[in-house]
Amino acid sequence: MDLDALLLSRLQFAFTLAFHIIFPSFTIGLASFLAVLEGAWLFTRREAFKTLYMFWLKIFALSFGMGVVSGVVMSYQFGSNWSVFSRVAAPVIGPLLAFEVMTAFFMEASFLGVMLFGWKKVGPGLHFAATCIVAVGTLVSAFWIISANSWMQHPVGYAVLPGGSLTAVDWVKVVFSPTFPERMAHMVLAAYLTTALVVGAASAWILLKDAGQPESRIALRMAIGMFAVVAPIQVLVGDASGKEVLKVQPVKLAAIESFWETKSHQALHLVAWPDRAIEGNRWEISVPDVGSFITAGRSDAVVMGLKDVAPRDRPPVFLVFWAFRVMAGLGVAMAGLGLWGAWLWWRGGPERSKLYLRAAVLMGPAGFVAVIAGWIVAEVGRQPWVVTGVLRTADAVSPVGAGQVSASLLAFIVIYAIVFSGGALFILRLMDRGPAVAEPQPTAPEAQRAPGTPLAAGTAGETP
Amino acid sequence: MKTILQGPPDPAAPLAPIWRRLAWFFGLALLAAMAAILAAYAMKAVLTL
Repeated sequence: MDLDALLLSRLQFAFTLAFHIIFPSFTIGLASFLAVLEGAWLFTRREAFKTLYMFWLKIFALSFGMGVVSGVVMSYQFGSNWSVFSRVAAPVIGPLLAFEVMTAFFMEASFLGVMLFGWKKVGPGLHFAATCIVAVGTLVSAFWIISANSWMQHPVGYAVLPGGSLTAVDWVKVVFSPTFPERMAHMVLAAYLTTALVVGAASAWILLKDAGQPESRIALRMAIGMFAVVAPIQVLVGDASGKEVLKVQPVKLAAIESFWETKSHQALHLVAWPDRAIEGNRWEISVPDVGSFITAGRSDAVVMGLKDVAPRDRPPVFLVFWAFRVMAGLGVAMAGLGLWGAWLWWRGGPERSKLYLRAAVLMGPAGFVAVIAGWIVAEVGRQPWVVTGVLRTADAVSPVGAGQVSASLLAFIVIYAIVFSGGALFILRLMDRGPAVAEPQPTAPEAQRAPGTPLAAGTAGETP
Repeated sequence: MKTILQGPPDPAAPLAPIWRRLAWFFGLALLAAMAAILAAYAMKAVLTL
């Protein structure tokens, strides 16, 4: 494989994106979880909700910070590695990303300050408002980013100017491009599931050590509720998203399912070894007719195959096919974890089953893996285009040398390994301690006793 | 971080007047926004060195 500037720039963008997407996919769900916890505390005044809020607030703040830092790197790469893309598409993409910063990022960053430092100063009602604003901000952020990406998947509402640049002629069409609604719902639900899996894993970890820990019991039940309800909905939303892909990006769908011939009664390839060199699958385990049924709703529906387009217009099939199966497989496992947990809940309590707790811990990172796999399907499946049908990825790269990109990629790998490993380890350490020690402990009543009272000596003696 | 993060006020303690709480609400938000802007410009300056 020839490591030219194009391939290295793609690797660099993929590497930094894979790191970045971990954080927003976690913080989108965590912000909403915090709003639910604080709302529950305000409504019930149960201390457990407040303890959980304080615990997850720390993790949210750390994740938000790491998400911002890794996100800034992404936007700088548009200029450093993808300057032709920026020149051509900036009049359309630029405002969407600017809206994200102005309407979402600043909303989140501003009111995060109130969340972290202002509870005593602003009181419970306004603090809850700040938490809700941050939660809405994360969703608004997702809105603009998915809008920009959906437009790149299927550009509409634009015109090409004489110099080759694009310009928006209908902003409503640009913002709400055809694949946007399903992709937005799919991503937000993925974020909620990712958070629920982490919350479930952290709670299960503590419950394996102490099955009676009250905050972790509550958090585990909340997570199970999310798996049980959201995971099956996510499967349906994913199916709707796939049907939209069939309409507007049939080549991507053909790669997802490894369909090579255009025909009716396509088989569903459960597993296969797609190979572009032989324009087919080296081997496959398939179910006849089900491929057409799942993708188009009828087994006699004609579904496009990859051979309908020139080889240079086909995406890397192997990666797209397997990334999709990783995502879908994990989605089914999440739904299974939810149903299993709901059954155990009904039978008396999921914390009684060590097997379930271990499974929940094991599934902790599954949301991140599924999200990264999903983005591989979306982004690699769009290749060889950066803006489908308008600008090829090969034409969008900056005129930079392979040496320069190698150096920056190496620097990213080293810096990310240090910074994000440190952050992740710190978060894991917090999770290992659990919510019970997360809150600043109130002064012990003993310490407040007047000198001379029977229990005063012990505490007084500890003071140097 | 344990000492920096604020927990809720004591339920028995009286709340400050609403104007003061609103002033803290928007004041803290503004300060946090300014911090984010400063950090962004600092990163930009570092990257363009």
